[in-house]
Amino acid sequence: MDIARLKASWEAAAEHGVQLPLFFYSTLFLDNPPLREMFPPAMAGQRDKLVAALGNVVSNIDQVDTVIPMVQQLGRDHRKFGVIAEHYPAVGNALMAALEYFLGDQWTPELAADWSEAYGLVAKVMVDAANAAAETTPPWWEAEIVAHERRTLNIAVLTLRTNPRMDYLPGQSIAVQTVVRPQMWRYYSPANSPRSDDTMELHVRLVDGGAVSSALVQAVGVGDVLRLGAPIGRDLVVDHPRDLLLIAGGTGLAPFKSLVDHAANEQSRRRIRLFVGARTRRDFYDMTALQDYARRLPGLRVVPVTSEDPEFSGERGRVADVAIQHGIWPNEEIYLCGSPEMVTNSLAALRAAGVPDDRVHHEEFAGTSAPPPQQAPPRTWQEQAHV
Amino acid sequence: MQPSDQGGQSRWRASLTPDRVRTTVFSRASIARRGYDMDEVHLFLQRVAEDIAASEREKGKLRAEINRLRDWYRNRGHDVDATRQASQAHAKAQAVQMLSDAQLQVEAYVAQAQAYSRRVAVEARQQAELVLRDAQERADAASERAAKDYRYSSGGGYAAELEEMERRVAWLRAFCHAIQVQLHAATDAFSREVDKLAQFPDNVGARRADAASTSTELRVFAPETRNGRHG
Repeated sequence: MDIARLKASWEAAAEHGVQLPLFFYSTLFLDNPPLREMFPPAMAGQRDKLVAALGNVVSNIDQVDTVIPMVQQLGRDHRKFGVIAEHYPAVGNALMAALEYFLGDQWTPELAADWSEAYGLVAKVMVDAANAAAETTPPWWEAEIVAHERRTLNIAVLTLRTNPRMDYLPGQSIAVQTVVRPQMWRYYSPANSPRSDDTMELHVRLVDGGAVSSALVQAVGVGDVLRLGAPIGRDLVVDHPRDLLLIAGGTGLAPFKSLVDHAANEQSRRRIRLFVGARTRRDFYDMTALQDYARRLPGLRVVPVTSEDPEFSGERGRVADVAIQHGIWPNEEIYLCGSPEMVTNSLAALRAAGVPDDRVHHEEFAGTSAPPPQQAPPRTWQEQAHV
Repeated sequence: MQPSDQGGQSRWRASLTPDRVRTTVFSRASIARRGYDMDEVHLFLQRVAEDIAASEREKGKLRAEINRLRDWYRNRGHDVDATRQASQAHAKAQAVQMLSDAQLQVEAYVAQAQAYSRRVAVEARQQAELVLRDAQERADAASERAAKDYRYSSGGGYAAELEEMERRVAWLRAFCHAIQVQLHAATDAFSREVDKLAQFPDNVGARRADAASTSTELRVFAPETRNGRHG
């Protein structure tokens, strides 16, 4: 395999932007019509993700240590979409057809052999990883809604019972799908540590115009069954004994409530400062539970902060700014979760306050839990779909 | 703005796709700095995304046309089998092109529907906040008045707790009243619309009789121009 030639050909093909993945998917579906229904109706985000993932694999193809874990995770992530080993050759054929179409005269038999070999390797690693995962976990979990509370105009708290039991770490997230919006998966963090009755709590904010969030807040109810993917993400998982500064915006509270819940179960004496940001007093949708934790955990302090409520008697301002004013946080590990805008602003504020980047944790997300490309926009609940 | 160069170490620059335009997140300028109107920016991004999608469709069509012409020149004068193969390949290329075109159209509709629902939701929320703020202001004023009235009328029997109680009761009463008025206005408007539906058949019958004699009234079936929000 001539790696330099492979990379050069990818760069040439990628010059065609949207055209390349558009041609790829159309060819795939024409040759294999049943595959179409494995994807959502609108595929714009999908195409961008495909190109990003391919670009990532191709540009790292000679760095086995980077590329193998990435591709393995891609293989595991695809189980929840119902992808099986038989689908891979069809995808490979469509990819080759697309490259041939756009590379024109540059597409030589030697280059075709390179791509065929490279794709074969990637497909094998993906299938092997999926098969290995299949020995311990199902491709997806069914989760029945056992409670659905509309806490504010925009926020619902859903309690699900998973079947079979799902093991996850506090701070991880899971992909969620409802039959109301087929093939559209969005990531949410459970707001509790795993329980013996297999129930979990999800905090869903209705994103204006958001297809899945609006369905989860308004269209589903008790008795409906959601589908969940395997838990992923390590960015907000606490794997050290140091003190914590947690800064949450809106439903970005969920992963931190899970960490606090875990601390309460362990009767941890760790110092935890939790700053909970909301626009107004009315938007604090889970204060009762947090106050309850604060009574049970001597190390926990909860500080509610509103950004647009002049009448609020507590702390006012942007939540990260208030957290910075509250202390110099010399030893704490700092965790951020909220809207992409909140995370971006908070990172900038912390940096400006002189907090070293390596103590600040937030989720980076590129559609899989593989190492994301630099500068990927931070995410919490925004739209995600499969590659 | 986050320039999202998805390529990692790769040298090529990821092109700006409609979805990337639609999902771009800008960080908010601090209060002190001047910035653009957020709604205007979003509207403009929506337009840009649509234009990119449209030109992508055209690009796809042109490329298919170029390939068809190239194949035609290559195969002209050659044996019949080659032309048949070429025409099969051409049919396949055309099918791919049609599917791609349809896909981009679907996405334009979905994006438009999402932008529309987003706008409606934002407007509804702004209106709700206005109603709440208005009710709050009325309630504040009413509670001030009640406190003043109490101080005025209490004379020697003044008690701070009683003043506070008067204040709170007046606040709640005024707040609930203001909300009630707004909800009534909304339900009234709604029931007027519902009544219009009930009147509709009568109207049509009467209009039809009119139309038979004069045929000048043209706007019989035009309810959407009154009630609709179609832009």
